[in-house]
Order: sequence, then C-alpha cells, then structure tokens
Amino acid sequence: MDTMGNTLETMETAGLSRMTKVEIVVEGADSHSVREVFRANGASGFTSLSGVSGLGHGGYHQGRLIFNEQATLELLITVVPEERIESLMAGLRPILESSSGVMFVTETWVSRPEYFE
Amino acid sequence: MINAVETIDSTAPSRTEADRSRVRADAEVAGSVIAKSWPLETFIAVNPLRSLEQERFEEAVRIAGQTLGARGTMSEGWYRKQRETGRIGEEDLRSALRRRLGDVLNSPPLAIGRERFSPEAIFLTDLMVGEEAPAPVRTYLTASERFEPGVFDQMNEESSKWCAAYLGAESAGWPMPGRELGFYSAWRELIGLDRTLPAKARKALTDLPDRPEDALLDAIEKIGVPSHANQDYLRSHVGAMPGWTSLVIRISETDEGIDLVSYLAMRVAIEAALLEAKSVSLPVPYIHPDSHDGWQPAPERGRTVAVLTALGALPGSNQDELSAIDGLLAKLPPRERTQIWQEAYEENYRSSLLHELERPRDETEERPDAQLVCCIDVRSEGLRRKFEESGNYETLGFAGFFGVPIRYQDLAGNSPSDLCPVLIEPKSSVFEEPLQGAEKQSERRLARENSVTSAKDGVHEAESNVIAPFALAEMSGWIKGPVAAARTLATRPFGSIRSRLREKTVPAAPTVIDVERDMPLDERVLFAEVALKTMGLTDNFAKVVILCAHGSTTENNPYASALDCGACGGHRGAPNARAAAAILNREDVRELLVERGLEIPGDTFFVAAEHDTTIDRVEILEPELVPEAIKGDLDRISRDLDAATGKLSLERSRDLPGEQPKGKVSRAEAGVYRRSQDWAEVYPEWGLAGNAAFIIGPREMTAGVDLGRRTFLHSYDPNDDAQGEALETILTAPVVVAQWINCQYYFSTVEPVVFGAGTKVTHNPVGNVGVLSGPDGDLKLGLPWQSLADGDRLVHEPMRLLVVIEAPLDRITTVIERNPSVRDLFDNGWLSLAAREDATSGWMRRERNSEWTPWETR
Repeated sequence: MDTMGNTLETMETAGLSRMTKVEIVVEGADSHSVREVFRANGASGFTSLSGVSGLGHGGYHQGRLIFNEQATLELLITVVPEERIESLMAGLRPILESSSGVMFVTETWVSRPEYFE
Repeated sequence: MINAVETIDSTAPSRTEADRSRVRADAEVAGSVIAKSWPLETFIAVNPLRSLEQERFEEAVRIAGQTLGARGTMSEGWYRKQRETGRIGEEDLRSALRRRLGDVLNSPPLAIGRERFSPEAIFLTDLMVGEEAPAPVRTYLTASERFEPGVFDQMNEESSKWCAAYLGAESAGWPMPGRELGFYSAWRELIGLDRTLPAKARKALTDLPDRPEDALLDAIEKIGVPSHANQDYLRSHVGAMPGWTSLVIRISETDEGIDLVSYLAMRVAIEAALLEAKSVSLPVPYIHPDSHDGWQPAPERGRTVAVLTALGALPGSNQDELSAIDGLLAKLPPRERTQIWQEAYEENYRSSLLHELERPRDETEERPDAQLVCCIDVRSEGLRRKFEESGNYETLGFAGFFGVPIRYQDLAGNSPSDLCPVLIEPKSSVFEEPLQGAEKQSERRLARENSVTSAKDGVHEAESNVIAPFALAEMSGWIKGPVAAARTLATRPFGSIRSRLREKTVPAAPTVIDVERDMPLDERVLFAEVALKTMGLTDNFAKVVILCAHGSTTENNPYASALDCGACGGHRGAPNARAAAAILNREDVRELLVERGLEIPGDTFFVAAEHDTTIDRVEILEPELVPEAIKGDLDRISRDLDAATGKLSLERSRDLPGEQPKGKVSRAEAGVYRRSQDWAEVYPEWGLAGNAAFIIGPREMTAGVDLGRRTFLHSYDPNDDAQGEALETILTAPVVVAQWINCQYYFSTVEPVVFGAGTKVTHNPVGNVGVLSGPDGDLKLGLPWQSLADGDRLVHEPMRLLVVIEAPLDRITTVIERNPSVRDLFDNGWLSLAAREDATSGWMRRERNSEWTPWETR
C-alpha cells in the first residue's frame, strides 16, 4: 500500500474523517466578502484571526492596529466536505484575483464530521 | 473604434452550485468599482473610489470614466481660468510638469526657424491653448443602453422604484409587502402586479426561478453575454446606477435580505424581459467595453500648430521642426493635461501653507490655565485659534471620539449607537445613568420625554400612512398652519420659544456616563494611555483639561449627520467626551497610568464639553461633576470660550451666503442661530468645505497662524514616540478617515452629478436611507451642491489631502512601509506628504517613488 493509502487507513482507524481546509489571508476590508462566500457555499462555520502580520509580495504587513481593523490582514479558516470545494473555489477565485490575498487549500482530518456537513 | 463583437449559443444549461458561486463572486467584483455608502441617518464620508485605491489616482479616475462616466478632475477650461486669476501660478505649473515629465524637460531646446523653445515653454503653452478634452462617457454599456435606450430608462426607473420600496419604505412606516422574504423574493411576488410593465414582461418575470443567482444567470445568457464577460456586463449595470448599488453593498453587510446578486438579478431580469417584450431578438451580439470613449484628439500636428501659433513662431517653421514638436507633445496625452493642472492647483496652496509654517515659533513650557482638546475636524481650527488668543490657553487636536470606541445607550433607552470611526467596531457599551441623588428628576424627564416622543411618533405615523394624512390635516391644520408660518417668518423667535417650551416640558435631569459596567479596567487604562500618548499630552497638564466634542444643530436637513463628528460614526460626540472624561478622572485609572509613565497631577480635572459648529457655542456638559476647587477657573474659561466663539461666528459669517461681511459679533451670533433653526436654510454651515491638509505635530507648528479652518490638526510629540507607534496610529486611522472626507468633498465637487448629491432644491428623501433628485432615478451619492458652493462660486477648492508631519523622516518611512494600505494612498497619489525632521529643517516632499526631495516653498 502506498503512503497515501497508509495515511488514509491510519486516520480512519483513529476515527477521523477526511475534509478540506481552506485558509485565506485578506485585508480586513475584504473579509466580509470571503465570509459571504463561505456562507453561500454551505460552510457551517469559520475561524477568523484579525490583525495578523507577515511578509508577502506586497511587502511587510504590520499586525494589529489600534484604531483600524480594516487595513490589517485577517486570516479566515473554514473546513468543508470535499464536494463543496468546487463551488467554494468558484466563488473565492474572482475575489482573490481582484484584490490582494493568499489562499491555502489542504486536506485535513476531523473527529466530528457532522459539524462540517 | 470598432468594438469586438461576440455571439454565444444561448441554450441554458442546468445550474450547479459552482455556477451560482461564481456569479455571486462576479457580482461582488463588478460592484467594487464603487465604494459602499451608508444610509443618510448615519452619513459616513467615504471616498467613492475607495475600492480603487490600490490603483494610481489617474488610473482610478480613468476606470471611473469608463464605468461611471465620471470626471476625476475639473475641466481644463476651469483650470485655465484659475491660471488667469493667479490661483495657479507659472511656478506651480512648472513644478507639476517637472514632477510628471522629469527628464523630458531636460532635453535641449527645439529650434523653430531662428528661435529656440525649451520643452517646458512648449508644454506650458500647450496647457493654455491645447484642444480641451470632453468629459468622459461610459463605455461599459448594458445591452438595452446599446440597442433599446427606452428599455434602459424603464429598467432604471423600475430599479429605483423597487429599491426605494424595499429599503426606504420601512423607515417611512410603510414596509414593502413580503419584505420578510428578502428583496428578490418579495419583488418577484409583486412584479406580476406592476401594470407599468407590458403583460409579456410581467409574465416572464413572474416565472423567474426561486434563486436570484439562477435568475441572473438566465437573464445574462438570454441577453447574450458570454460567461467570461459576466463581470464586465454586471459592471455596466453597476455603473448605470452607482448610488443604489453602493447602498446595497453597505446594506448587504447588515443582513437586511438584499445583496448585489439579488439587486442585479432584478435589474438584468427586467432588462431581458423588457427587451423581449419590445420584440428585440435575443441574444443580441455582445460588444466588449471599449478602453476608449471614442474621443479622438486632434492629430499631434494640429496641437503643434496651436502651440506655435500661440508662441508666434509658426510662420518660420519647417516640417522637421514641426515633427520634433509633435514627438515632444506626444509625451503628454491631452487627456492627462488636467492631472498637471490639478497638481499645479494643489501646489499653489501647499507651498504657501508650508511657507507659513516656516516662521519662528514660541515654545514656552509655562503651565497653561486650561487645555482644550478638540476634534481634528477642520472646524476646530477656528475655535482653537480664537480661544488661544483669549488667554494663557493651550489647545490640542485628537480624533473626536477621544480614543474611546463605544456603543452608547442613552437614558431614554433608544437604539444604541456606535460612536467611533467606522474603521473599528466598539467592543464595550457605556450607559447614560441618572446622577446619584437625581433619580427622581430623571424619572420625570423620561416620562415627559416619552410622552413627547409618543406624540411625535403618532403624528409621524399618521403623516406616513396612506389615508391618515387627510384626516390629520383636517384635525391639526388649525395649529400646524400658524406654526409653519411662524417657523418660516420668525425663525429666531420661534426657535427660542421652542427651546424654552422644551425646557419646561422636558425638565433637565443631570446624568453621568457609566463606563465601568461593560468596560474592564485594563481596557479603560489602555484607551486613556493611547489617547494621551498619541496626542502628546504626557506632561504639563493644566488644572482644567476640556475634552471638547462637536455636533451640529440644523432643521429639516437630511444631511445633518454629515455635519456631525466623522470620528464618532456621523453622530454628535458628546457621549465620547463624557466617557473619556469619566475614565481619565478615575483614581484607579490614574494609578495604573503612572505605571505606564503617565502621571496626571492630582489637581487636574477633565471636563467634557461639546462645540456646536452651526451656532459656535461650547457647552460644558456635566457642570454638576466639576469640583468646587476649579469652579471659579471654569467660569472664567467659559467666559473666554463664549468670547472666542462669538468672534468665530463673526469670522464664519464672512463666508456664509447672505450674512454681513463686516457686522458685529452679536449680529453674527444671531445670524448663525437663525440658520440653525431655519427649516428652509440650505446653507446652515459650510461643514468641512475647504479641507485641504492634515497637520501632524506639536501645536507650536501652527499656533498663531490663521489656517482658514481648512486643516485637520492632530497633535503629536515626536520626542515621545521613538518607536513610531503614535505616528502609526495617526496615519492608519485619523488620516484614513480624513482622506475619505477629503475625497468625498473632492469628487462631489469635480463630478457633482455622479459623485455628488446635486442641488438640495430638488431633493426627495427616500425614508432615511438617501435622497433622489426628483421623483425617481439613482440614489444620490456624496454631498449636495449647497455644501460645496454658493451658486457658481466654489467654497470647497477641490484638492487632494496634503499630510504634513514634523518627525524624523526615517520613522515616517518605516511606518508607511509596514502599512501597505497607507503606502498605497501615498504611492498612488491619493494623498501627498510633506515632512521635516524638526522645526529648523526644511520641508521635504515624499515623491510617489517613496524618495524624499526638497520642497521649495513660496
């Protein structure tokens, strides 16, 4: 059995279910649009972390600002079943093409899949 | 120019969730050409092109021209008049040309016959005589706009009608039937009854699918738009009615059942149905938006001939010489000349302002008798200047929410208000409570206030109802008629009588602001620390420190909140001043501030006050809380404030239409009071008209200089901010809010039709969400003409904001570089920056490539 197969078996033995995790970093001003795409595509929830800092193609981004939540970066994370990914990407891609931001999509494993259906 | 034409197979496929998701995103991106706008009741100044701030200003303006048909500058003819009057000088033009064309101007002079002309002379002449470019026209056009303009007009009327019914009617007491279903479903339920539409169109619209995404996709395909062009096509609909679109974008954030997809689905579905009903054969060929609006400037040779004619050199020229000048002029396309003019126009004001700030200054460290902390709002500059002239007083500038973002609950239990810049959301609530011992008074006040409110609500409801207004007029006309006559003919006495009547009906009851119930101590200490350190008030505290909020009193003014405090979310700022004073006067807060290096003397007391900017009165808000020890001081300070505000009324009256330019103080005070009470007054005050610069530094930089109420003033002590944290707070928040305000004034002035609200005379309020000009059409964006100009005379000079900072240049650069959204504003020309290391250094200009160059002031 190949490595992927091993991983699958191990995770399933551990009672975990495979899901897809989407992480997006966008400016606070664009975070509402991203959350709307999550909601419209049936994501049952999301996590957001505002005021994240980092270095990207646009240079260094300062973290938390005292009186401006829109200019700082926000990290939004959601987990969805694989079948929702196509529509989720269809909604997110145009938004990312028209604004600055990065997106990471990875396989993830959850113990209570019903929370994410 | 021939546009690319495309035809598609219109067989509709079944919809997938991905299709729907994509069209939602396409609608979102299409809408980004216009910024969201807030309903009128909480009018927030915004840059209408805010979504394009990552673009260079010139590019954003070009996009606005294509999509909205909007100008981004004044016309060239207007600038030429400014040149003739001297408002733009030759040096200003030279400076603007040098910055735009750089080395092009260093090329050798060009020979024409026996004469030689420098490139600069040729461009300067072209600026004066070149053929003027027309205003831009939209090139993003809807199908009906191209093929059946009557349908386009009807679609716009329908859009306005249904948006007004959904968004405006509820606040007018008559909600749209089925509103609870959401906009799209409610509209679809009712559209079959709309007899203004042909029966065939009604039938088609009644049969629309349940989901707005499907309806939108069906309509787009039926019209013949290829899927890869959806964003462009939807943008053409956005550009057709940017006012309603921008409100829908904002409202969609508040879960009101309307969003861009449902709005656009309604529009495009109506368009498709009406085109079919008009027997237009669908699909129509799809024509891609053109990148040019069709205006073809005269060939370069014509431009060259015009220049040489003006220089008197044409007769001696030969073909080679003419070609050389053609090539030179091609470096500056005619459409871009207005950008040079605009920069020259700004240069004139800026150089003069910086020159004013170069004079020697007084830096005494004597303890002032009082410190007055005002909002950074440009109107505060006049108050501060007049107050400082009246005694040993120091004034400071800080955003008018005083660093305390709050959700405010008043004593009467009205809906809470968020009193802070819209860049943040308040995390804590504060509550107005009866002062200890005044509970009974408060109960009486509340009971009376409720009675008055109920009566007012009853009348308002009757006025808003379908039938009741007739009966109401019969029953109340005998009293309302004379009252209306009194309000019109005897404005001032009527206002005084009404005030006295209100005092008798609703007796005053002292209250306090409870800041402790919901705001933890460490948060209060943090707010206090940030406020004091950011404004540089860290030592030499006076015994009396007045935190002076501001608000405006006007009658019958849908734009009233535009005159209130922008830093308080378009509300009056009194609760913030009271909350901040309550925090700063507490012993527990002061003890913890000492640990953070801030020692407020035991005899210092913070007093909350509010400046009414329409009538120039400063009211001390909580006299009951003032300790005996400073009552005498405060009485004297109040008298000086009264004198200062009287002089301010006189100064302001010079600019107000119909006032005496050289009257007496008492007459000026009476005049501004009348304006505040007059329900027919279209010029209650000038608000922030004239705003042009944002100065960050100690007051010594500007004290004693008459800045003409045109500058935002933020106090800042560079010596207390080695890490640049305070400067970062100022540049990322107050400067951003000021830039929104500035851009709103700018674009409302240069493009009053698209970005402004037009004349107040034809305003027709839609509930409390906005105004139409007349019975229908697009919701108006921006400011009314009477906030910007007196007839043809511009009171607001359209200039982008200049930020002026006194601080080490390295620190400024570091702060800008680590905040890309601020960097964009400077690099892309939305803001300009002048800075100097200290009081003895020369002014430096931050160029768009982030280099510093000396600024030649004059």
